[in-house]
Amino acid sequence: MIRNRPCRVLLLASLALSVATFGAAAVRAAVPPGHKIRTATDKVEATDDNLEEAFARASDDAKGQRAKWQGKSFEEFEKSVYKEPFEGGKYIVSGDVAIPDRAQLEAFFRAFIQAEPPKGLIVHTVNGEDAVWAPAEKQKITYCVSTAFGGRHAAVVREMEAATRAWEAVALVDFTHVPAEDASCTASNTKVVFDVRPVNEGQYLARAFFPNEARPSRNVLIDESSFGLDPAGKLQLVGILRHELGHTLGLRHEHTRPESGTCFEDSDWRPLTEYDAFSVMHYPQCNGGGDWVLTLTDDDERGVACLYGAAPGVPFDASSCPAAPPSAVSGAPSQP
Amino acid sequence: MTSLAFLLAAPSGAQSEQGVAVFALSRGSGVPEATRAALERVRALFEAARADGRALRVVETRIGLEGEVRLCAVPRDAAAAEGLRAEAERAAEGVELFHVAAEPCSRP
Repeated sequence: MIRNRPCRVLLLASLALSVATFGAAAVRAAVPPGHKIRTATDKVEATDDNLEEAFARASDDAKGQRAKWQGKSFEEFEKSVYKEPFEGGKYIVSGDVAIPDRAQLEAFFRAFIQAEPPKGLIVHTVNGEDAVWAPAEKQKITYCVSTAFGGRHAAVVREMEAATRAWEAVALVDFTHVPAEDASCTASNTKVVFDVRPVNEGQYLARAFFPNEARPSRNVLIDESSFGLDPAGKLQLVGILRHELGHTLGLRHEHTRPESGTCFEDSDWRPLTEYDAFSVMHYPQCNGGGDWVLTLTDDDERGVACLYGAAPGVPFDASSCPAAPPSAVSGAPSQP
Repeated sequence: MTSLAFLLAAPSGAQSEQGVAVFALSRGSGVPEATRAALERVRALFEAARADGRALRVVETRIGLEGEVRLCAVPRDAAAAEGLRAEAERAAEGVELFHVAAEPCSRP
């Protein structure tokens, strides 16, 4: 799906080969929004229909390449690649793409030839480092649910459990409700990693935090308005919480990526996958492709597994993940 | 029911004209205080423009779960558009998670 209109005006002829190799989305993302690019020849006009056809053809070519090498080794692939026959000679792939050494050729093989490029998730960064839970913390993310929810307390507990399960089912993270702390579930309670509390300000439906934040800021706040949703509508508390819990794992709004063409927030993030307009972290109102049910896509599942590892029994190819920065920042949570 | 139909449909009416839109956004923790204050300054600007005829109408759309808002003014003409955009940019200069765009008010 091509959603970013400025990116639809591309250099058809010369990009087709690159698209076949690297994936259509990657090439679209490489064209800055607002740039008008002419066609390479006068024979093909850069119309929407022609572009759709070119991307579809290129995508088919890319799938063909991946199918050809599925189950085969890097060594077999290497033998098939032309290498310039002189000292310092480079590997040449896809006609004119030069790769300087064997290690990078292997990385290219794993990421673009062997694996289907994943899609859709970005992680918050602070000073260039991922804002994520450390390995010792990620399976001890404890929380309380304030009894100030009153008659809705049981429902919030239930919806939190459902929303946390959605993330736990795919990634090696563990959220644990600590009922003993519900009666004293405040921002200063250091016996849990975060608190879930009601507010009645009308400013938002809910809001969350990132793992690098200190304990007093680590709250999931649910506004009174979240309990007035149309029960027959797509937007429900559990979907809101799935999205907000994505933030608590370090995930940013997918729509801040330039491919969405709107709702840009900042550049303090690192892509885990390619852009996904259907991500649980993408608002439909920001040129999203999904709806307000807000469920995890396959690409969300792969993206969060890149950060924390896959849940037991979930098939996952870690070689499809981009390289992580050397260290990560977290809020050093207090634990019971 | 609350007024949350905002999340389920785009604003109605003939709104395909080019407009001046501002966005107050959230990273995940809600719209910051300074960003909300900038939105209120621009809201006042747009309402003043509507009162004196430089803007034909002002459309507000809540676009997210965390209080994100898009405010869009349909200007009377190109000169008014340029003026509104410049005023909005000045009112929000240096404010994070706030940006101004020239785009049809029918989006997003």
